[in-house]
Amino acid sequence: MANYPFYYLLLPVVAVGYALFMRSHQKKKTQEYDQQYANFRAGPLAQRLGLQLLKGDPTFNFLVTHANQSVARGATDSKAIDIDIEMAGAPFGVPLAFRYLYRVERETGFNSTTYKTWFNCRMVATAKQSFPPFEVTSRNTSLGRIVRQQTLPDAPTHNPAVDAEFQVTTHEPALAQLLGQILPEFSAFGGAGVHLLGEGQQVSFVMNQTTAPMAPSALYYAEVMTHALSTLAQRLGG
Amino acid sequence: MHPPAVEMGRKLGTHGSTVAGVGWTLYVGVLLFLSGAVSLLGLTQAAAKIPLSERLPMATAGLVIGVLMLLPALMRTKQRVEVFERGLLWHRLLGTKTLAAGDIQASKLIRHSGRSGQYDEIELELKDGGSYSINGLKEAEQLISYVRSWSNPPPAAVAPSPGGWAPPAGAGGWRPPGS
Repeated sequence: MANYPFYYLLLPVVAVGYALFMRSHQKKKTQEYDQQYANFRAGPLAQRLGLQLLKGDPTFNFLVTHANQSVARGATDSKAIDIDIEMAGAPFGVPLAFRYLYRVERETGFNSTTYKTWFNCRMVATAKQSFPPFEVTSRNTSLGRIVRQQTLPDAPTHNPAVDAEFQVTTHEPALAQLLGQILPEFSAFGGAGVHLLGEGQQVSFVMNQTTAPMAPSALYYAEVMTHALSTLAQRLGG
Repeated sequence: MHPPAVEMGRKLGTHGSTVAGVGWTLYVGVLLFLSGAVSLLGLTQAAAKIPLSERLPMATAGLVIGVLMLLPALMRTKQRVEVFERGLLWHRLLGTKTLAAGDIQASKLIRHSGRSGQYDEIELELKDGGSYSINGLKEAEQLISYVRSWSNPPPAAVAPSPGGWAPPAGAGGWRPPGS
């Protein structure tokens, strides 16, 4: 022991101390952000949007997901991350439902660890009548191309500004033309991106975990989303 | 022989391959192959001094292991998937495989992360009991999304609702309510 210089012993202590400090600093920062964006916690967000929280933790923050203990700790072999939130209402006269499902299971093997992830986040407006299927995606987002879910053909909306910003796909030209009138409201999402799916009587705003439009950036415009989706459903299916 | 692409409908896109996850295998494979060739052909002064009979076992081992390591990596990098409305063509080093939408029963997207990188694997389970694994494609999430849409197609026709929206007379199309 005596042969080692003092700083040989000091360095590991400093390193451990720094790691502990950073961990506590990060935790404090997360708490600060959670407070700063408290209006994006499930409870207050539902209230703000005129929806009722039907299921899930009212304190879960959609913008600061790491403020949730289960998410921050991560999935373990014995305990999965399981966030399941549902809201519903009709703030603009059209039934609106929001679903956020995030589940991660972990299995530690001999030489590999497997994570099984389920993620489903969407706001859904239900119209009175069904309409032809369609899909709308932003052409440019800050996170690259949006993953499309349908194989419908491109359809011009005959609104140059909308056609430049969004890719509209449907078999029905009349529907594309109507979308050309309604979609400008969705321009508010900007680089966050827009992904709309229309099927049956439902129009969904689809959000993702790792690709655009990511749930936190899209939910930042939650008020616009509820209003624009309600208008869209109303115009498409009454 | 595969059926012409037109039977599978419109082409939706092409997915090339990445070297993610096979860079290490390629690197070691090339080194082993080159060292085997150098040793076999006596391309360096030191190697040339050793008799061929003594160089042969090591050289052969280098060449064989090198090729075995390079082959899967080359097969990975030389693949490409063309996706259509009702199926896909998987172009590989050793030929093209056609998979029709109706042949596929289930699909899974697996993300592999390790020291040698991260890559995506698409696992396709066929109705005849077979399965395929396509590794290391670009934009794998988009491909799996198309594959999943085959088993969940959008409703083709819209049921007319009484007193509301109705297809325009004669045209057979769709009109928004109130038009």
